[in-house]
Amino acid sequence: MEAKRPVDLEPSVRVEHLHVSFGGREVLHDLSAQFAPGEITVILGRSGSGKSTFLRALNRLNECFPGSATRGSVRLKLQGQWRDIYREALPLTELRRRVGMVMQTPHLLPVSIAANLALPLKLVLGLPRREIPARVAGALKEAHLWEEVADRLDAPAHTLSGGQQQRLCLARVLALEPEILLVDEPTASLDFRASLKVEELLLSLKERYTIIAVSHSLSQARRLADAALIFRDGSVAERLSREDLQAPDTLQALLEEIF
Amino acid sequence: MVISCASVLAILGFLAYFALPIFAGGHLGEIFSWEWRPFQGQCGILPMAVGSFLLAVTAMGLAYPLGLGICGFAHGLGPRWLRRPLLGLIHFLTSIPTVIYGFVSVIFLVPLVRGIFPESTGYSWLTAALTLSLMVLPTIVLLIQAQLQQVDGRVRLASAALGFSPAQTFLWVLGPQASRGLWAAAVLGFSRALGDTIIALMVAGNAPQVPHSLLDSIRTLTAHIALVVATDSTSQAYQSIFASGLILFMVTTAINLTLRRLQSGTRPAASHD
Ligand SMILES: Nc1ncnc2c1ncn2[C@@H]1O[C@H](COP(=O)(O)OP(=O)(O)OP(=O)(O)O)[C@@H](O)[C@H]1O
Ligand SMILES: [Mg+2]
Repeated sequence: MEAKRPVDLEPSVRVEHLHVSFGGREVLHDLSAQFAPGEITVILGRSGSGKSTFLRALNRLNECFPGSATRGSVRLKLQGQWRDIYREALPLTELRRRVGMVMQTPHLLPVSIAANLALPLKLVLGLPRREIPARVAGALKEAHLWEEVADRLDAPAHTLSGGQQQRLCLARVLALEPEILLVDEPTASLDFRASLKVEELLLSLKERYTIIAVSHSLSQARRLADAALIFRDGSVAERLSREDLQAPDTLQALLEEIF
Repeated sequence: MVISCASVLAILGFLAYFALPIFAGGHLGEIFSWEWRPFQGQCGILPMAVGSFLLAVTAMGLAYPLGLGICGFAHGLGPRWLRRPLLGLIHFLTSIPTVIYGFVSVIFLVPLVRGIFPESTGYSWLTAALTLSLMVLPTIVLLIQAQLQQVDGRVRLASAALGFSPAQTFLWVLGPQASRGLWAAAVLGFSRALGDTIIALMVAGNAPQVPHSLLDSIRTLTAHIALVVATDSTSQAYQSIFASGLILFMVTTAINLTLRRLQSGTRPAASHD
């Protein structure tokens, strides 16, 4: 089952001494971590341990919240070039288009299902109108949503079920073809079968992206992860390899640690 | 509800009762004509109707884009620190009595217009439009602003995460969401501009004529009523103000009804949340 991977991949995300605070209250403390392309790194940790905040630090989305402050360095390899996103004048729009994020709860645009994908394609990628429908359909198929929405693409997106909305958000990010994919509990509102589908999708995508996924399910982490980070109180308590995750005694220790 | 309906009907009845002699007495043609020379028996109010309309439209033409710009500025187009002072200023503008706008305009704007355009007295359509636009600006901004604030914060976050610029978010996401606020602001702003009396009275010059340029003096229906009531005049002149009142009343009622429909109407499918 274990696919062959090149050992010691050159990382594509380097985080060093990251501090994030909201209104003076520090949420992430001196956090350092690395992530490699072609791998899925799963972040595990208690509620409130800063997992979502960490993902948002990688596309500078914390700045959309009042009173946020970030220190430390986050360097990303984008288009073969290292970019220090908090120092360099990399435009935010460019950064966020290259670092795609699916948030913990579906964040829809208040437009139709199709327009949720078409609008970013038009505004962010500047795609010509005639290329958009094919791209929309492709992304919806990739996210296993196409069959369910093909006959109502013009319906308001909020009429979809929670799980469908989540897959819509995933499709929307995939359509933009980012380089780094941040997914925050992508299967939170999916049933088991649908979760497996999304996991399958993530596994099939990992060749092309650096994937960082937050999960609250240990079994999911074992199915997905090439590496896992255990977050505790805003910093990385432990880093586990795929082999560590499969070992039964680490499992027991983890269960007590996290849950 | 019953009381407001009753009072509206009472006002309508009152105006109709006093305006009735015009219709009955065959003076209709005289009232709805283009000449205002009460001592020669010519009491036409059409120039005033035109004046009211032109002034309201120009004031809105200035204030609306400005208001929209201010809202855009407060919602991401401008720096975040500027948002509070800007909206604070707008709130402050609402608390100033209208007469102060007129007063300040007489002191500063009238001489300025006269200085730039020596052929004008300064008391002109232009001066009134500028002053009035400042007066209706807060109404417009606050209405659009209220609607924008209703937009779910997650929508903003989604747009930002996708890589939309603040301008794109405002134009493509927030704007369509606030479409009802945009309409309400246009309608209510227009009705406020149309209903204003003091500013027109103080700085528009009040000549009962159809203006040929922005620098000409104009008289609005509202100012006309105030002037005729204040200066003892002939009975026919007096009748003309009831006709003026009736016109104003009907127009503002129509505007109010439109507004009601806007507020109760369902949103178009494209702007659901
Ligand atoms: N916008 C914000 N403003 C203030 N505090 C925040 C904000 N976002 C997160 N926090 C705080 O940061 C801490 C970490 O939150 P975060 O959402 O990152 O946790 P999490 O690990 O994702 O939790 P969960 O598993 O419940 O999603 C929490 O204490 C939270 O209250
Ligand atoms: Mg979270």
